[in-house]
Amino acid sequence: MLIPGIPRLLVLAFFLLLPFVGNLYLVNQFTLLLVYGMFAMSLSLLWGYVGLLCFGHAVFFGLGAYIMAMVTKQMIPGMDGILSSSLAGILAAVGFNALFALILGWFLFYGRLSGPYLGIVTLAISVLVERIFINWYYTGGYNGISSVPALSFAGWEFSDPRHLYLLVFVLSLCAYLFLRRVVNSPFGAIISAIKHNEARAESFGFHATKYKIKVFAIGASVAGLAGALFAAAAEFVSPTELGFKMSTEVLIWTALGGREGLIASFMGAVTVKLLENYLSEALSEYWVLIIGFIFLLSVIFFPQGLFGRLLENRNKGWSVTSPQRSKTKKEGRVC
Amino acid sequence: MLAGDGKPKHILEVNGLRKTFGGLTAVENLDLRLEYGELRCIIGPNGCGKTTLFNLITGNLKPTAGRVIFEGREITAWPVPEISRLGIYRKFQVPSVFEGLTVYENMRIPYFARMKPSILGRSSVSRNEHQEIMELLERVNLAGQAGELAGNLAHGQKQWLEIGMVLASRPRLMLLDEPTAGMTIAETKITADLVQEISESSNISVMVIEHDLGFVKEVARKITVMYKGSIFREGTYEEIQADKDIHDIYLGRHR
Ligand SMILES: Nc1ncnc2c1ncn2[C@@H]1O[C@H](COP(=O)(O)OP(=O)(O)O)[C@@H](O)[C@H]1O
Ligand SMILES: [Mg+2]
Repeated sequence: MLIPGIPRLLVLAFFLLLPFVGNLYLVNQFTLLLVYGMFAMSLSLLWGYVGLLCFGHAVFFGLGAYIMAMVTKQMIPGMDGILSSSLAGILAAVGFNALFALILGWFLFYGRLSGPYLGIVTLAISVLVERIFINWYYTGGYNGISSVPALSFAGWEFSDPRHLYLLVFVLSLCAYLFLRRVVNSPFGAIISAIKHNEARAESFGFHATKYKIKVFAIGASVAGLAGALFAAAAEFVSPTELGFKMSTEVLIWTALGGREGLIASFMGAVTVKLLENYLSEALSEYWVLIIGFIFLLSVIFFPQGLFGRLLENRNKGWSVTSPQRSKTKKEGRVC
Repeated sequence: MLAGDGKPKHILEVNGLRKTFGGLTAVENLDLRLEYGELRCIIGPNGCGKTTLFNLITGNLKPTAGRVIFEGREITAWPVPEISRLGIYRKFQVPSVFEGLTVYENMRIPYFARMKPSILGRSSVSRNEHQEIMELLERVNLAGQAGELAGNLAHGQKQWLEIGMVLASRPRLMLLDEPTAGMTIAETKITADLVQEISESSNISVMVIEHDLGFVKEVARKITVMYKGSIFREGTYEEIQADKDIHDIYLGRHR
């Protein structure tokens, strides 16, 4: 049996060493994979840890990307100089998403939406926002915004792909550590209680709705950060990033990787995107069929996803004073 | 009604409570008073509105009419978490534990309710609280199952775990809905002893809905009999036992 931490260390080592061994094409490609992985982790928080199945999660990714593009291209009146820097763009993307999710979450969760209804309404919102951006001339309509400036901080421009990669890598690592901290905190214990039995949790004095709104905002913020980095790394953003297709894709990555684990979800995104990059040309339309089929199989046969068992260690992070767990546990939450 | 020191005499007062579901009246003009430290059993035939009464007290259901007063404060139709935080904790009729968490993790949840649930802090309880959890698990006979997934426990053990979690919440009023359902005779006896011990060793007021008459006989000094949504009789076990009408509505029908 593997020591639980080792597969995770291997993942870490792989992504850390990649820019030093890979060619530029690979480095560019993996920069985007890191971004998608971060996006998948944010969905894992909502879906895997709180049970909020959000079918329209791309709306947060896309809005993050659009805000980043508009801020750094000085398309927002009154925001120039330092207010149009990369940092301002990222902060605006994260901040706007947090606020948007708090307001949206307030309506969704006080409206007592859950299960498939929540999924359908979030999907509708994502499609609606996609339509708005398709028809919005100012943001380039269907073509979106291109020539988004590269990331730069305090005069240091990340135009070298390797530097950009390392920056995105560090930010992904921070996002992971942050999310892991959240799920292993008392707050995380409470959201997992709410996921398992909402009525019971409320009877212990927790306002389930308030917790859901907060966690929704956290997930949206991280998705917004991923979106902002996407815009800067890909140097463009289009309505595709906000809509139906992207929303379903992130759902598939997360489910395939293992929604109940942050790294598992991250690896789900990396794996599917990587395969897609190499196989989708050869297989053309069949790619969608194949990935859909694998998705179905995994939902039925591997609810923990491809990486759920390998990369996640349930015991990790739970209290130091917690007693030894029995080895007979069959399923359950991983974190 | 206030006692001499200005403290209300009753921990719980229910006045003219009524709940209808469409055309069905589940609770009708119900009055009930529970004294501080009292251990009360509620019995009555299936469907007479016992669980609905609990739901109305804890805010899980909003009454059609009537008032619920806890420690002199009206709490009618308050949100569930706020009523809980006043100190009313319940065990549901269908055992409700967090099945995907271990027994120990289940027991920690009430402790998180008392701290400011930090988003970035460590999710561990203090040494003292850990000690307290282990003692509570000992009391509900689950010390050996601390690491077991709650979903894997037997029905009766889930009931005990839920009682343990309610105790960990440091209740002022504890509502137990059929705590011995699905238990063997031996387990029922253990549960009766536990409930009695809780009532005697602490100042927790307790209301228990029970079907098992052995249990009722052992624990209750005062019994409330419900029938068709209202209070039918109140009295000691002997008085209830001797009451011919109660045999007709309840004992006679069910045994
Ligand atoms: N949420 C509900 N919706 C509709 N009817 C209900 C609901 N809860 C209880 N009832 C009805 O109210 C009556 C009393 O139910 P309940 O309080 O559960 O009885 P008891 O606990 O005494 O067996 C029953 O007829 C039951 O069907
Ligand atoms: Mg009942």
